[in-house]
Amino acid sequence: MVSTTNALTYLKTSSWRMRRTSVVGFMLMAPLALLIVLFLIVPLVRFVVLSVDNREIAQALSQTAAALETWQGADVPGDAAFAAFNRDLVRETEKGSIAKLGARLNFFQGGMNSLIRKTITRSSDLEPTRTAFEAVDKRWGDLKTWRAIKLATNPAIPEYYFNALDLRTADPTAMVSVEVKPEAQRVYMRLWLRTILVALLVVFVCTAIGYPIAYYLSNARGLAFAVAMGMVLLPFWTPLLARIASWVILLENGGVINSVLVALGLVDDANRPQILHNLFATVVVMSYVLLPYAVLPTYAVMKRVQPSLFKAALTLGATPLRAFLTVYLPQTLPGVLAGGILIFVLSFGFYLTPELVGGPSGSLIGNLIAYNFSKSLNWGLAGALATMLLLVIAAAALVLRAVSPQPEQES
Amino acid sequence: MKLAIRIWVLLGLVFLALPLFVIIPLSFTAGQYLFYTPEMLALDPNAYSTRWYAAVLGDREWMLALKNSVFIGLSAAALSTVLGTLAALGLSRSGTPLKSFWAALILLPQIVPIVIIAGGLYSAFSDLKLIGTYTAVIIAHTVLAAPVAVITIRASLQRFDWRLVSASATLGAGPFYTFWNVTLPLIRPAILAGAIFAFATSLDEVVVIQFIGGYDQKTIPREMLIGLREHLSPAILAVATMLVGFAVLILILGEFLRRRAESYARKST
Repeated sequence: MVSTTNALTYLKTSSWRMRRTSVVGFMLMAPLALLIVLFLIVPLVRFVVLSVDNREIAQALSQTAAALETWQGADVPGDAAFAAFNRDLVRETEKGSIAKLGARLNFFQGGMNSLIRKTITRSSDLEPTRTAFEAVDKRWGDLKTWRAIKLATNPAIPEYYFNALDLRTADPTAMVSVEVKPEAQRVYMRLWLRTILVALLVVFVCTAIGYPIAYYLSNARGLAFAVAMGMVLLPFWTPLLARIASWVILLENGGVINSVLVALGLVDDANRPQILHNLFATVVVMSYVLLPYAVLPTYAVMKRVQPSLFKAALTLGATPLRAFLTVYLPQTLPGVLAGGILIFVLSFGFYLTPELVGGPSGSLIGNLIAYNFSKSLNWGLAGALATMLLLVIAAAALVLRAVSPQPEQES
Repeated sequence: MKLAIRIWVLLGLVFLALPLFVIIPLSFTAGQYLFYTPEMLALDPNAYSTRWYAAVLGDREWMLALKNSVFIGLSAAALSTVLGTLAALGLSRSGTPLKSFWAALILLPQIVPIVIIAGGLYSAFSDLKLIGTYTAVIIAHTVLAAPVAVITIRASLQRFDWRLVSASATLGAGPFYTFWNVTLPLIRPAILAGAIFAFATSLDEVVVIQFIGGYDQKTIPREMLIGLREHLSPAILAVATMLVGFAVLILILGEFLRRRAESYARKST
């Protein structure tokens, strides 16, 4: 109805009016769009830039970079490179930014920081030759050291992404030569896998609990419907912290669930199971927080399903199970998929819930982003993790768009 | 089979409702423990009291947090509603180019994980030297709450009868006169609902404010977070219970306004 009217007015308006209409529409959206561009898009782009940015270090090593321009990395470079490197060291020491250079070089090759510190105490009177450098520390004659320096002269580096996937450069002269880090240094892959597993588990739990609730809601009438719907919507609208607080009370060591278990004699008072601050708590509380997202889209789809089809299948001799599997389930699947993907997307970026109930074993990628951003101040790594997380979410959102029933038509 | 499904549904509903129903009575404890004492289970009236409510309402820090939450929430809701109404109008006009692109852009704060938004806002506001100011927190909450307002208002505009606007124009009214006297009165319930949901979004927000807020911008969720991290006391439960009560109020009020917006739309067509 509305769209036909729109189409008619659209046809009636002259092209001048139309152009004016489009400008007005744009002007109306501009203030909010501008706010979002300035405070969301620009910072996001900046994170992406930071995740490959090495300009500062490349700048600090500008002379070395020039000297190593044609170096192939087959053998330790000649004295010209040592001289250039020494000039960079002297200049950076005078500027007072040598500590930063050392710390960042350490990122490319373990031990570089101490090597630089050891060398700069002598650098002003150091003869800029390989022999003199090697006299300070043998590592200056090591090919690995120079490969790391060569790598550090690149203005853009993939190292943060390697780090975010527990990889490292195998051959610093080739940009794409990577190897998996030794077991003890692997952190992030485990977190990525855990985040994916938790997200899938939460989707499963929410669907398993949410589908029957949605079915019940789509058939309930009157008071039963109001009460059940209220029970779904109340937690949905309760502030997140209040919900998390109630779960902390429930799951705590001296909390309600453990006290009930002890009172029932199921658990020994001295050996109360640890059910808070672990992966179990993360999955339970996340499922609780996200359950309405499984119920509501499925309910919306089920409301539109014709009950007569299911009845027809039964009349035609199908068992209830067969009628459900072949008639009802396929009709409601779009709602289940929409809810499931939405939950997957949302749980992938969870931060606050795992932070408060998950403990170390229950923390996810979101917590690692926060850690690298605000605790270890490694914005490059935080940016790489954030970029990868956003890519996963964008991919899932595209799938969501493709499978979700289109409730609103763009006129 | 039917019985099994019923029980499963019931268990699911209990899972949804139980946590909140457990903390509400516990917040009225007369003691200082976070579990039900035998006296409480025996429904001994002496085991219950409102001491933790009195403690919260009489506490300077909590009251300061309340004042901040209300101030930040109202400011962000006002900004979100104005910007959100304009944007929703723009998105509903037939001639607006690239509509789905703008809609996606405006809804982005709902999809990007909050911890990434918080990091981004931190970097933006530290460039502007605004970390720890009300300005930063209000702008940040507007970015988060405006999409909520847009969604609510846009839904009502989708059922809006645009012939009324054409009629008004035909009768010689200018666009501003038409907006003020025709469009606005009809979508007012939706705008109010959008404002309420925007306020609720700000009231619930804790991650961003943790990144960009200073000591002065201590809000209720921030104070709760401290309690959850450091020492959990029944006072937290009293606050949580009051928030649940407030959420119920908002839910009822918002739903009432949304229905009114719907019935307006029906009446006008």
